[in-house]
Amino acid sequence: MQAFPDFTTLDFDASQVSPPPVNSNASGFSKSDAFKTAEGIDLARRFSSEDIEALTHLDSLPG
Amino acid sequence: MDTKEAAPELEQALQAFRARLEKELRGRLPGETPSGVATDSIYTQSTHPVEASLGHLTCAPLVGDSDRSSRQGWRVHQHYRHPDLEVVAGELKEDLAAGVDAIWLELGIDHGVRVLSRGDLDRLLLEVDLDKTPVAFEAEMDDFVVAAAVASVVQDRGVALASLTGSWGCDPLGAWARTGTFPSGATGAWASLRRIAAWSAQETPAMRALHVSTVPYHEGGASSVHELGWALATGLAYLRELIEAGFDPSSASEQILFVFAVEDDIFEEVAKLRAARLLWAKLLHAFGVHDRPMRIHARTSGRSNTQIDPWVNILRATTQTFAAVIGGANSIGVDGFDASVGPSDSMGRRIARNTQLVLREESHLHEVLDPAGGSWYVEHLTDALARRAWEEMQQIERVGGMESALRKGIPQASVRASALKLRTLVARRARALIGVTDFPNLTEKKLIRPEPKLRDVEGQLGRESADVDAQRRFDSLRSFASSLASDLGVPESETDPALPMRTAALATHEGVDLLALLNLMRDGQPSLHIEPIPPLRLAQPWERLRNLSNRRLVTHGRRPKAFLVTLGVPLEHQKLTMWVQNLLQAAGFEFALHEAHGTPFQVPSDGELQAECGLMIDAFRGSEADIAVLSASEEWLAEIGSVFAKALRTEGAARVLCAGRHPNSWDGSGVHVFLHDSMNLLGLFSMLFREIGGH
Repeated sequence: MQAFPDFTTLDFDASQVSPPPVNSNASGFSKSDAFKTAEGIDLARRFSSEDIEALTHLDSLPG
Repeated sequence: MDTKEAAPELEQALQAFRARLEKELRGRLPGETPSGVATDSIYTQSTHPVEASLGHLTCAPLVGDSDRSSRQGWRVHQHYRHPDLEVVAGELKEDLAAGVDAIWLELGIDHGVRVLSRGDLDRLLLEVDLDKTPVAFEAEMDDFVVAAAVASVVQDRGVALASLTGSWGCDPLGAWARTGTFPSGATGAWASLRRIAAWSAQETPAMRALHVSTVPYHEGGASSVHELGWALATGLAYLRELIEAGFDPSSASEQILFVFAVEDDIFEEVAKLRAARLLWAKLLHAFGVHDRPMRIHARTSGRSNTQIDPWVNILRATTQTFAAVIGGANSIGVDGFDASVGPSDSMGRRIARNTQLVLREESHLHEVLDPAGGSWYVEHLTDALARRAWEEMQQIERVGGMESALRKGIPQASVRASALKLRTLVARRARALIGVTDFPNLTEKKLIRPEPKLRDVEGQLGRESADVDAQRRFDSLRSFASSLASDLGVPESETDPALPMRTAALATHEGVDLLALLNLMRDGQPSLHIEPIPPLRLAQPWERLRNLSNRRLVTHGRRPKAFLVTLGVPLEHQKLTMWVQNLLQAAGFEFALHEAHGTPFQVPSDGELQAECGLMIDAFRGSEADIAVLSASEEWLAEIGSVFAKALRTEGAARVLCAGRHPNSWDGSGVHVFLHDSMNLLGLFSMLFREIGGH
């Protein structure tokens, strides 16, 4: 039987979980698998930081 | 963590925004979430380390989650708990043809849908296509025997056990917290868990054997941090048992379905479910498991539902369902708006499932996974809740784990404290319950949902058990007893840990009822008791006042009544007056409104004052009110409020109240009590009811 981790001392930041690759077919989250909105905008199954890299309005206060 | 430098012009704009907000709200900035996480009024890229959090915002644990990664969206569940299995069988037939994907049965020998035998389960599931319809069972301490009877039904119908989907719902710690009793002690409870899991892994691999439900804690008043921390600690306890029973950590984690109640604070609830996934991924990571996502069933919360104006529960369920979907629940169960009154009827269930269907089929909420990911506010909340919950889990681990913590009463004490906090907020009306504490409708027609007669229901159970061969029944019972004994040390159990469930299923087939099996399992095991966590329904104390008011209407021909006097231009006191009108109606008082000095403030002459006061006294005499309440602009109140208050007392008002905080030097003003949202308004009006003979 494997040793049981000691969670009384395990720091929250000790284990870093990472997201699956956005375009990984294995993950089932292919970007090409898009849903089209009523306005004809393609929606991927999942968005990540890559999708907002080119956006210029993020560091502003619309409204 | 790295944070981005804000552009100077943005920083200036932010400062200006915050200054204006503070002025407009007079220092009452958002403050904190229900769980006590401090919140800012605005979050931006510069105020949150967005890059650092992207690791979990896209929720690695979603990988491999077939329901949410497909276009089908979450699974629409309906929960059933009506005691009469014949009624539920009819409901199942109706609902499965009308949009329900999966069913959730709360059942047992003496709780939920009453079942006593295999035949009862057969009748209950008569219209359910068991190899196509996912079924979740929630049988508390009857979990093992219910699973055995269901297995027997499935086999008799020629359906492969391996084709079953759903969950068996074994959750001894959750059931213990709610009921306070392990009927066969902790040893018996853990043995039952291992037996169900071992059998399920072998024979019903598409079923999850275990639930980790935080619903009993939530319904008792627990905070989101408590729920998350205790979900982790409970999950850890179950992992420990399964690993010791021979499961590897990955397959052990696959046996668990997490169940969370979702309440009305959308952002906190979204963050709660996201934090749950993050926390479980971190916990499994420590076992070297990286690709087993947490599976979440969310259900609507019962603690904020109301019996008065229950229609508002439809709106609550909608916001709760929205939060559950955005938070990433795999399946959701929505209670009927009428479930707080009694068993939901057809319309209650129809609206409940259509709430989900509209959000899925018309609003397409499921099309993009984790749509809140990347929101600086939601990421902040997710991270804050997760960190606090991790600490909570560690504290539980330090006292020996969740079982030990429950024995010591630690979660119970925490729930008591947070329930008191919630009750206090509701008593002050600082936490609104629309339709009860705010914007009530005194003339609403009461919704009736008759409670079933348990004696009649229970008399119909186990009807077929007497018809079978007594010898075969006895032999099957002996086989089951033998398999249990083998569990206690005879090597047979090591080679076939699923044997007790198989023999139990066979015994139910031979007519042994569930109670007989349970008694055998509990034989010689002393029960173990802890302080249970009672459910809390926040609206209840205010509803009590409303019910007293309704009773007074019947017995006296009228409700308690307040004479409400406003002073000044409506625009100047409108907000305060609306607040006090709401308060009066929430407490079951009707009111007669008298508007005095409806002009911009100017010091009135003695003649004007006397004339206005005279008009007010005449109106008060005609109103037959029990109490009087003043609501005025600050200037009018300071100038003449005292004169009006003293006049009302002289005229016999039992109590003179004044909306607003007690101004300086107003002692002896004639006002008995000043009304504001930092005081126990519920306690005050309960006292007033007693004083005027409303009880």
